Amino acid sequence: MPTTRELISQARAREEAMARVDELLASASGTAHDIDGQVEATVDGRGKLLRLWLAPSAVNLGESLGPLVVEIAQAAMREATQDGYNKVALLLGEDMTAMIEQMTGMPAPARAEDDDPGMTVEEFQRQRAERLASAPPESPEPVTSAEDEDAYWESFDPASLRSDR
Amino acid sequence: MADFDVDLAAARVAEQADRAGAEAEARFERSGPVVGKASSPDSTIEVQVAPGGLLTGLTIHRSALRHGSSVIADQIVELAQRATRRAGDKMYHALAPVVDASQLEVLGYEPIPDDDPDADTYSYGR
Repeated sequence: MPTTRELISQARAREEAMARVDELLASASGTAHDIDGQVEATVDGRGKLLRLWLAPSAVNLGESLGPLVVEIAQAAMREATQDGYNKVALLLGEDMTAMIEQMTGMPAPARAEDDDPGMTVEEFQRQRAERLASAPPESPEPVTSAEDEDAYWESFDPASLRSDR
Repeated sequence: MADFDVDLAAARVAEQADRAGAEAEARFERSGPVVGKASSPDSTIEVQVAPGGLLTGLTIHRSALRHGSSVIADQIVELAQRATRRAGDKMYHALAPVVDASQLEVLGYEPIPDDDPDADTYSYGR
């Protein structure tokens, strides 16, 4: 049976943790870019545009640039929502976070049916082995011009040849 | 003291939210969905955001494109921030009668003073 003092300190700890939820959600942010890398947007947990970068070529999109920026901002918002829940889950645990998701009516984007489930360690290792097998053996870059060679020797540190470190 | 009952707490919060939600909904039904809008002085870039600031509409007229990508990007961010403040101002006025002001502040909904350049009705030399 816990003592009253323990119960009070537990209740305080919970209260403090809950109070930090707002803070964590407010500090969340998400970034997304389009498939061609012409638009990149960062938004905060509520969707406010914090940063927008457009490639010089983006002006060639003409009037379709506006709708594309809206689409990227909304993708960034999904990232920010997930980031917020990830932070809250570290603090309050999975059950409490699921409850918050339920209360806000905004499920974590990673719960979506079509979300990328990521990759298992085994799958990563298999793909890596395949990549290494198909890649040609690495050879040092040949020095192409005299200028490159001069630059190489200027920055050369003989200490790098020492074998005792 | 009973242990913290998560389900009970969730139910209570949900009930409170429902009540405030129903009142707020009735208000929004009269006013339509809350959006914040801002446009560049020459009206070649128009931004619309939802409460909180998420972009819901962006119109860039062809004539704005000649300023170059970085100028346009800076202008969009500036307009989006102004539109976000305006949406927050509208939300504040719509919800202030039913939700505590400190709660609204936590949500980022704050009133814009009348003499602020971002206020919808502001005009120079008024």
